[in-house]
Amino acid sequence: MKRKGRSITRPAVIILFVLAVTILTAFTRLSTIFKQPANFPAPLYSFRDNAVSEDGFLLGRRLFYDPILSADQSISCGSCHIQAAAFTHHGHDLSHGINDLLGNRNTPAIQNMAWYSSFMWDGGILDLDLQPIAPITNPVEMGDTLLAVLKKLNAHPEYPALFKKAFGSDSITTALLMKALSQFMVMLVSADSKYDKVMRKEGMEFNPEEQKGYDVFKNKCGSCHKEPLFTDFSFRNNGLSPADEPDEGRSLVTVESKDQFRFKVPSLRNLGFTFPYMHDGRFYTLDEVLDHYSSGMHESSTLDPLFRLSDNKNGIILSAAEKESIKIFLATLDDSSFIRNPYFSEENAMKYVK
Amino acid sequence: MLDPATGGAGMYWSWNSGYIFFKMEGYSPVASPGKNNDHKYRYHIGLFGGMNTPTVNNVKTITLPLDKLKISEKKPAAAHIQTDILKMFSGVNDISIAKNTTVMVTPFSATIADNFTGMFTLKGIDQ
Ligand code: HEC
Ligand code: HEC
Repeated sequence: MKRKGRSITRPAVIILFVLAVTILTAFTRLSTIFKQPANFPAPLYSFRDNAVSEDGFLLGRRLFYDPILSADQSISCGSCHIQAAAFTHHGHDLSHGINDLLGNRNTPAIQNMAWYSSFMWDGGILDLDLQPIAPITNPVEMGDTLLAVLKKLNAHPEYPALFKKAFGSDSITTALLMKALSQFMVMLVSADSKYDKVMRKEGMEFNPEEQKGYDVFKNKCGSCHKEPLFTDFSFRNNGLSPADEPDEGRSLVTVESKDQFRFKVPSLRNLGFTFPYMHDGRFYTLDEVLDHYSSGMHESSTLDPLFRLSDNKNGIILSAAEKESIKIFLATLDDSSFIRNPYFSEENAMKYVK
Repeated sequence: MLDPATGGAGMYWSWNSGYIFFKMEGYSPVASPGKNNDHKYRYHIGLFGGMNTPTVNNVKTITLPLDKLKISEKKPAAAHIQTDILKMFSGVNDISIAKNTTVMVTPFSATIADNFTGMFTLKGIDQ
């Protein structure tokens, strides 16, 4: 049978083409200033619902560093998420918030959030736009209420105008506050480590030591700490012995015993700046971490099967030389341009008043 | 949408994204004493089925016969819906404060949520 639409006329083809180009440019304009690194997959964050603009980013950056979001105006997001420490709480095992109250978990890095499918160590938060509600209202973090924060912002001499510039409305709502903070956070992309430059073939190569470490890493660690984000975003129990008051991790959210002591696999980017490590910050050095994997595993029913060796032993078999190699490779994931980028800095954020 | 800052204040779980649909708290001599020895009971019922990982789904659809309700441009109309809170304890399922003093995200929340379906009745229509 002859197809009816065979003779699409030339003008029709041109119109279709123009239409496609228009749609494409409209689409790219939706997230103009966010750029996907060439060696990364497509991001998950819904830029269609929250296009990142320069004004939105600058507003989000200012909010992130402004203690106005806490009850006694003493703590900002940036107090716990410090740029020089790849947006972790440098040196603190557990975070502390207003009135020096201690939290129960280690502050994770804020980097490459646009690729995350869930947030927090237990994955309880499902969307980056819902994340800031937790610290703002947590009594041991910022200890405020959303209503009070919105009142403060709406009465502020500068914020209403900044929201107007970014979103076209000077009435500050929960949704706009969340969107502004997300616009800053999704821009915190760390993709300029030596590893990235090697992968993108930007005139850099691993030296033999690094290459050796990379090979060991892929073999022993890469299934959970999956490239290029160095996490597969799953929840697993990596054999940490439970603390005195055990944090049950993922099962607090799912209420399933199979999820007890499982935590989200963290990224291994910027480890040089983010110590201490693990959900409770129990290890201060990578040597301790590697010793844990080779000889410190705690047996439990939810221990990840990948750590089950034959002859009833648990862990990852690592020689001293392999440990050294892994450390050399991990150092290639440190991205000093990320922690020094003035575009993300607190100093510039607080100068942003126009 | 219900704003967690205003209408939804206190009715939103920030650590386990989602709204709390029903909240009831109080003191009862039969409630287990608890940490503060104050015999407080707490029912916070939420959970919408999850986004990436399935959870309990306590969303209930309730249909009331509103077909007689006529909405016109000229006259405001009102439907009076009565909520029988006692049904939370004795609807389809019997709930005991002594046995379940605190219920939040556990699967037992579904047993309570089943009782919501019989809680609402249409008491009348003004128009
Ligand atoms: C008192 C310290 C503290 C403050 C203040 C704070 N955070 Fe956090 N942040 C943490 C901790 C601790 C976690 C991990 C909590 C958990 O897993 O239960 C976290 C987790 C996060 C995550 C998830 C990261 C991931 O990998 O899942 C994001 C995003 C985040 N915070 C953003 C913010 C924003 C935005 C603000 C300000 C509104 C803020 N934080 C304020 C300590 C803090
Ligand atoms: C079966 C999955 C799995 C394997 C294999 C694995 N890890 Fe992990 N790793 C995890 C999980 C889960 C955590 C978080 C555990 C926690 O905090 O409760 C983690 C945490 C870490 C951390 C802490 C990061 C931080 O920011 O706190 C480092 C460092 C680390 N792993 C390195 C390695 C190295 C190196 C290897 C290979 C020798 C490896 N991991 C193999 C699952 C795994």
